[in-house]
Amino acid sequence: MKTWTRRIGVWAACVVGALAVALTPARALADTIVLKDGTKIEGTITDEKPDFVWITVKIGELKKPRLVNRSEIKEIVRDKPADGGAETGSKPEAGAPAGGKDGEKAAPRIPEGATKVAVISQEEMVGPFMNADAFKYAVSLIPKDQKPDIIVMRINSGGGALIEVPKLMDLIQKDLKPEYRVVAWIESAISAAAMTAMNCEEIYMMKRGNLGGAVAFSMTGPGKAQAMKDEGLEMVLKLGEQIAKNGRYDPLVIRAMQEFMALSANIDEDGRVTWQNDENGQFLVNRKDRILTLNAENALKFKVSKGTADTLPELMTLMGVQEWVEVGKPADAHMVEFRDNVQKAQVELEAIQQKLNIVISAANATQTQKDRDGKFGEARRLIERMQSLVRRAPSLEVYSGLTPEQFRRMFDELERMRRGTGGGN
Amino acid sequence: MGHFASRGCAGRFAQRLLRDVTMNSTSILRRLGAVCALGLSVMAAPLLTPGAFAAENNAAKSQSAEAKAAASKEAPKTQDHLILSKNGGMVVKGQIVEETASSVTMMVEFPGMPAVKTTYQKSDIVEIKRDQPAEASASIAPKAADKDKKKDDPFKDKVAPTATAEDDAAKIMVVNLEGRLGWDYSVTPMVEVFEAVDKEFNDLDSSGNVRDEMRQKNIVVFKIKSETSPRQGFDGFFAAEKFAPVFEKQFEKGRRIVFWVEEALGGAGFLPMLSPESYWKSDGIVKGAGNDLDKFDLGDKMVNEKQISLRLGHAEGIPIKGGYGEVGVAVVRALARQSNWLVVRMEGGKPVVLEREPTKDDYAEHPNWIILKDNGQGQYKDKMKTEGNDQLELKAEWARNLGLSKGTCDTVEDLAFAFGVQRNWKEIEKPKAQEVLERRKEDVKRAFELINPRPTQEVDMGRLWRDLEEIRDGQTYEEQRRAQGRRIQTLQQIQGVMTKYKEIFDPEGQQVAQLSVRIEGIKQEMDLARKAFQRAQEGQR
Repeated sequence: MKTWTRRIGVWAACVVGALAVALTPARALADTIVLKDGTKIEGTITDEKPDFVWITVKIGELKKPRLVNRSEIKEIVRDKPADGGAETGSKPEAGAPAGGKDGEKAAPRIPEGATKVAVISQEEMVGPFMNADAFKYAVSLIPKDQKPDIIVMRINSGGGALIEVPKLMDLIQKDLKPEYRVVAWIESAISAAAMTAMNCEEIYMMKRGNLGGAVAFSMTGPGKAQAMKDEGLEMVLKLGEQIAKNGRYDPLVIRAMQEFMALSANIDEDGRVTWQNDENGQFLVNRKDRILTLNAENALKFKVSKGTADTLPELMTLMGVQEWVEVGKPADAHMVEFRDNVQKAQVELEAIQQKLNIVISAANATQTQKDRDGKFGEARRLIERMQSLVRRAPSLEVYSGLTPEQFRRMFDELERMRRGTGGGN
Repeated sequence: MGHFASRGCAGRFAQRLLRDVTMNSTSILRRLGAVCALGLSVMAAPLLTPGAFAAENNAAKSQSAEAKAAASKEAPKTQDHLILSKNGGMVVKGQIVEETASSVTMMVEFPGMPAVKTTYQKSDIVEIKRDQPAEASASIAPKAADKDKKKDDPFKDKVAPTATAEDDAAKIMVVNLEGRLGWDYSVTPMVEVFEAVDKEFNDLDSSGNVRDEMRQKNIVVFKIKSETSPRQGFDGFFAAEKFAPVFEKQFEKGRRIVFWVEEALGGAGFLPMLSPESYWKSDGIVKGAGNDLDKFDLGDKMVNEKQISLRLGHAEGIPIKGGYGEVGVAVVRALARQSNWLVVRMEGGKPVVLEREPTKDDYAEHPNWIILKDNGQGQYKDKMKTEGNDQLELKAEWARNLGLSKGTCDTVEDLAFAFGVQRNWKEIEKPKAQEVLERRKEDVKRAFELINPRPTQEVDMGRLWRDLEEIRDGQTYEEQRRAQGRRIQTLQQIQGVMTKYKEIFDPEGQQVAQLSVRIEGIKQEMDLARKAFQRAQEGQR
């Protein structure tokens, strides 16, 4: 629904925009820089560099050049003199969103030779929120003419479900890497999120970033947990080895995140880092009785990360990308909407399940078949509401067990209850 | 199904899980402040007017007797002149008291007023003319003989702000962060605080950034006397982490933010590290509140260590982002775990840290290692060098030594001096930002008085819950229906308050959802009662 509402909104915006253009009288050649705070600077762009744009603004008879950082720019709207009309096209700029707020405006024109970068956020719990299917679908939303050269996974997750890690690993390794340069840009990647990030050969950290803490465990009671052991642990350690191979990291690094293991490092005069499974190296990285989580500084020092960047322009500079343009906003917009849906659904589903029990109790307390049918009708609508929530948050099929089959069983059970205690129906 | 533990700030699953579960000699510091002052010099010439002087804050009233005495002295016979590149070659007159490769500091003289110490960058100076004949009207500046004296002890000049034109003076806004972090003040009001700061300073350009020339002059000082609940233990840190993006946004736009530490306990202790500029009161302290991470217990040592590790990963990011580097990280680790060491020696005025017990070899190489915090085990049990019970208590002197504090300041005047704005500043009285915080604090208090579900020693059960309990059904169907209606209405009021202050009372929205279940139950009861009543009525007919 929300998607449709948004599409209609975008369509309406296009119509309004076209009307506005049609009704605007012809005027002198002018470019407009729209800043992220909504400010518009109108003038003539005289020079463009990767980090900034010069625009000459006319104040009365005075012409004043002004420097605008690309990091502040939302979009640049250029007037084209060629056809004498006032064709307005939004062109994505380095550091600016490609397609406006929702990324669903007209396709941006991409400067020839510019590297196309799509930043796709991966946040919250691995599994329901940071989810391989949702990520794959998000990538598919990027228009072909905007196909990115680089996909940046911006990760902020405290971990989650172990079963999602192989799915994400396969997606990154088999689907994305052959097509794109895939980079993990980490605000926080803990546990399953760390395992996911380390499939990427290129990891960059934000200054507050962290990476590690990947002990697999299961809950054994309220406030009680148990680390995986025996065969389960073997399997998880093997997964870690495969991930280390994918990302070309020393397997000892991931292992020190997964279980108690001493880890120290040596850095030679050429800056090469070697690791050893004890506390005797040049630098003690992890004590034998602790679990490794790297911060931005030690991730960089020991070359697990390739650099530290808090902004996209900084990241691009570190990656050696001179001229770039941000594309693929629809992909990130999808991930944002998806997470929003999952969050709402999680809270609401729990409440609906309780309401369902209340309504069924009420049904059993009714005196007439008509009233009883009415109550079962209400119950049915609640289940339909649950179905609707899960449709918009499909990861919950797996992580809440609300599969189509489960819903069918619920409807059948409801019907059986309606008939079974109805007497004579 | 196996899980990777999820906490981070985002993992709902685990959130639920967690729920269950000075060279202190003042003069030395002031000397350091003076060095700092050179770097933060006020560029423009002070345009002193009697009006501006009169309008200066009441700190002006507290001018030192010494300055007043100086003001009454005779004027020197010669003056130095600086011809500035700004303002059409403005000439500033007075006595040069200090000159470095990049700057000149002058006691600028104005007729009938005390001289104002001002530092100019040489890049702004076109010409320096020394020992020019003094103007007859000018000057209550110090005698020439004072000049050398002041070179020896520039801190003698440290007095409350005298005056300059308001446009030119640095503005210091002190905002008190008091009470419980995440409760008495949280992210939403903090965003509003910065909106109020922007309005009051009125110094943003069209891009929403602080104008370049105002970035050093307009200073927000957050004075901290705050804590997180001891019940949260180290996890109080996460309350502070939520503030990080708010402050980072302000730094990005060029807002100068300073923390002034009086007392910061638990998670509040991380706030000062959000900014590269932090000053401490002489009795300032940062320490943990409640259990540290060594007390973390989920019944499995490896899972515990994982949980501790990821928390430290988050917490260490704060000093890294704030620019406190590995020393800041070591302090965080020492605050986090009783078993962690913090051992320091000073080398060339800078700290060198060890996070383990120093060995004999360490002492042989450098005998001046100081144990700020041991691991509290064996011979070290309760024998820390600092106070506390095997937990780090960081005080002003060591905060300064470790580079976490830029200086020790007990008054706003001290801060101004440390900022390098000396006399040319004013404190914003009753800042709107403070009002925002006070109002919000009061609103939250009133809200809690309405919806607190359980009475405590400090707070009664919320009025709305009491109202709910007091609703009686009555005898008739109509009375019962009205009673149920009132119950629904009261529960919806509680939902309304919870939604309004969601970030404090119900961040996940689960409380509101549970209330909706309860409302649904009442509605079902009402529906059944209505149907029964209708049937009874029909039967009577």
